[in-house]
Amino acid sequence: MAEIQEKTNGPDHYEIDGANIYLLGSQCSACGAAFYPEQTVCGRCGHRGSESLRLGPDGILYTWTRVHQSTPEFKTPYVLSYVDFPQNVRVLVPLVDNAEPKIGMAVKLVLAPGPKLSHDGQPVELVHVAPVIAKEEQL
Amino acid sequence: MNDVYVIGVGMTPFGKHPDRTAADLAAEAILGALDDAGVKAADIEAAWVGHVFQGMAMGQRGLGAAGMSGLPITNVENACSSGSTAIFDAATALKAGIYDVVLACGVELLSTKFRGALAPDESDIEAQIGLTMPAVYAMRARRHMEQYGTTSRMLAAIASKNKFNASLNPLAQFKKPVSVDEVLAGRMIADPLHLHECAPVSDGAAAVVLISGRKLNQLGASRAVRLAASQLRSGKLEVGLPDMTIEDLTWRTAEAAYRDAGLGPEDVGMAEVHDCFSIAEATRVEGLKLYPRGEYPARVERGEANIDGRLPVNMSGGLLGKGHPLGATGVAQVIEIVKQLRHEAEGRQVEGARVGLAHCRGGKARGVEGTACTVNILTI
Repeated sequence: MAEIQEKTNGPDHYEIDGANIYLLGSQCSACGAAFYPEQTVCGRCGHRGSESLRLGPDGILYTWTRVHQSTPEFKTPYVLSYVDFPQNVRVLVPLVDNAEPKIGMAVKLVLAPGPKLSHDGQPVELVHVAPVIAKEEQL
Repeated sequence: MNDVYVIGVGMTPFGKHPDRTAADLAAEAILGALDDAGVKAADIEAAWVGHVFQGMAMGQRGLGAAGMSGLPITNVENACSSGSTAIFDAATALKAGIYDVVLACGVELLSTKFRGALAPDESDIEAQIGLTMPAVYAMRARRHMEQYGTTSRMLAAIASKNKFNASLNPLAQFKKPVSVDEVLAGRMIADPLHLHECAPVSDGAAAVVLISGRKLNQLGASRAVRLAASQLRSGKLEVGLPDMTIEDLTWRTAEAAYRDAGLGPEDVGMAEVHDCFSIAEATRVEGLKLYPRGEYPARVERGEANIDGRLPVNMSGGLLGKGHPLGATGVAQVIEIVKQLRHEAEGRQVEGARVGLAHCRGGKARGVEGTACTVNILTI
């Protein structure tokens, strides 16, 4: 069994399990409402207490934009998207910028550099989404 | 509850004032409002001052520059709704009968502090992966286009309308009309939003004097405009996968304001609406139920929201044309409605309207649909 790596101290909270990457959210132990990142007090019912919830690795692109003007810590242009996960949570995730995005397309969580830059100007590795290439297109 | 009236308004020109201080701008607006109201500084029993990035005790600095001190002063930060929240707080105190003459002011000096795209607070997890305010609205715009067939040209028509209205407003930041083609030729800020579809960095201040109904009876001010409703709500923590084109926050705020005023959307004759971006005007006007959902951009293209149209929106030029000094914006919106209802909006006067609505909503925090939203309804 592959080792599970967890990272929850940066701008994105995620877990690597074998070939798959999951974002780490939470689910209210009382009403089941799901949140990302983890929310210990429920935003729907107020219950104090939640369980960890994996989001992904697949999702659907809800909307997107290509950002041309940003703050100095980011290298423009870059693509941001809101992705709907089957766990009923929508999360802001950068989209790997190599294809024209399309609302409703299937995406998968991946690790990729940027758009955030470190103090010495190097792209920081962040959880992104990438388009899922259909099987026939791969042939 | 007591009735509330606006009896005095004052504002600086909006634009770039890098050689001035925020306190100096606030004082100009405050003194203008006192003079317009015909009251003295000593008559003001309490003051609320909205701002976002002006640091500690902005209100005391601004009132101090206007020669006012010692009274209860409250500083208000509520993102882009800071100024209109100051009005809400002042109106709430009047309604409760605590005071009879109060001041609400909003001020911002951004041009010396700030360049580029505004982003949520840096502790916000979305800001840390690159979310900017234009990006938030660009993603809403793309959904509006997908769901209702809205085009870039229709969104550009909103920006063009507001720049034209601004050209009629001597206090506006932008002096020249901008055509739809010029909007579309502008550089992209966050796809599909172009430069002219994004509110500029602005400096300015605005202030209003509010009084109770019983005080109005004593003073008999003939130019008083009734503040029939002033409501504030915040965005709810989002659960699930809501439709990003629907402004639940705007509707919940408006519903409460319509109820207080005893009016409905069909009674509104003109509106100042928080157009921080072209798409924002659309989702807000639709959220207020002033136009049917999904149809507003197409109707702007047909001229329905022009000053001489069926239901004018952002006669002042809005944030896109008049400018957006964050804290001052919500107060300036109310001032435009007051001027219109007094028939003092020379060159851009809406004829025949007796009810005007000012909507302000802004800011971004992770997990909530919006931060703060106010709706003020004014009548004569």
